[in-house]
Amino acid sequence: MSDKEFLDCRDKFFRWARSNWSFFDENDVEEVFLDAVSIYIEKDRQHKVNTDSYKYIIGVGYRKFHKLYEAKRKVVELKFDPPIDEDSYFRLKELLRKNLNKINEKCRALLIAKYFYRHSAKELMEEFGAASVGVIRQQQKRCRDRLRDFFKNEELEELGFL
Amino acid sequence: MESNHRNLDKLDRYFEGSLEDVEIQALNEHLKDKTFRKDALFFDLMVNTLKEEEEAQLEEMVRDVDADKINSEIRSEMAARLKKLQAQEVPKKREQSTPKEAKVRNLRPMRRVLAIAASLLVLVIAGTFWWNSRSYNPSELIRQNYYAADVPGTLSGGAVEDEVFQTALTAFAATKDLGVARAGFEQITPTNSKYGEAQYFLGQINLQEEKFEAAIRSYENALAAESLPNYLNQSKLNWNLLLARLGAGEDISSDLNRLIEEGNPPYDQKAENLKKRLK
Repeated sequence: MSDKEFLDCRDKFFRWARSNWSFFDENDVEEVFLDAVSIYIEKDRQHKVNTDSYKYIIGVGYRKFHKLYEAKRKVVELKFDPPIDEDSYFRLKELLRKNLNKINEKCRALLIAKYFYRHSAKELMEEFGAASVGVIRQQQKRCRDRLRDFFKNEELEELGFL
Repeated sequence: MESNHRNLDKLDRYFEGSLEDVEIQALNEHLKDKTFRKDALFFDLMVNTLKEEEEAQLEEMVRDVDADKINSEIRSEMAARLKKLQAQEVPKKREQSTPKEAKVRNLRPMRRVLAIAASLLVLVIAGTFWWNSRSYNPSELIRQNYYAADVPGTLSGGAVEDEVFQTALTAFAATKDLGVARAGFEQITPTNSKYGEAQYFLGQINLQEEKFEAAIRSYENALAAESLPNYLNQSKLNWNLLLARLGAGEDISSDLNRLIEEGNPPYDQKAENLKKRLK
């Protein structure tokens, strides 16, 4: 792992940790990062890693954070008023999960890179080989709209959401 | 029906994690709107489903890993490496911001070299002027095309609760202290009647400081505010928003075409000129 890759993994790990595990302070995040990167290096030397380094490191980090503080975990959510009924929310999520399989792999990867790993527009541009930040933004929008097309408003209404 | 693109962008930024606290408050207020609520629900489901899917894959990927079993030798090696790289990062950043000291040399033997260098410099400057007059440089184009801020007729006489706003406005318009102005405008929360105006001025500051993404957010907040005073020209605001989007790397050609088609002076002509420069 080159120094550049090492620092790149650190930046991506910290950004992901800040958005998902915000109650940890920077020192805790650094400790978990060092544990995770050490495991990655060991497994990589044993040729047991067949994915992007940062994903593997985040995977191990997720496991560690999860074990430590699942109860305190920050969940990204909006404050719906009136609140959304849990059963219906679950059913809609299942519906969306099925629709996720209908969009192409590139779109899915782009949405995950943006919303889960929090990659910046510039990083996404390089990762997905887009000509400019504007182009990658348009691609994101198209992918999102595609998913939205599968998820018709009527379904929301039928389930009594609106 | 779908919410307008500004609201969708705002949701997008919320789930990216780039909204400020005051903007999140405004967003939650906005959830009372039925159409917006529907879009917000879609975003919420999408992001949380993507998250769960990816987390399941990560779990699977590291299934065989014992996260507590760490090779202490490798860990020490990694800790030292991180420390070393972090130490290198700081001077590198400092180096970038500090101009290098010039070496002092005797000029006499270098007269000929200097003459050639001066000629080259003249050529470079002339070339730069020529190139700038015909090429696409977003920052330059924005500086040439943006509208300076509209300010109210008087900078004083506001109510006591608007003191922060007035101080910020004076700093912006009279003393030109953008730092003080920014700090003041950022304190104006969405519940304050001056919120839209404050966001407008933040948009102007961000645009001047070439913080284009932030300028977009501020202008959009201003447009989404319940009311804006009459002295603020919304067409100019929309024009500056368009320039901020250009600065952020967006393709604004369809917006320019629309302005040209609409034929409302001076925006049709300005759009035409900008379009030519962008080619």
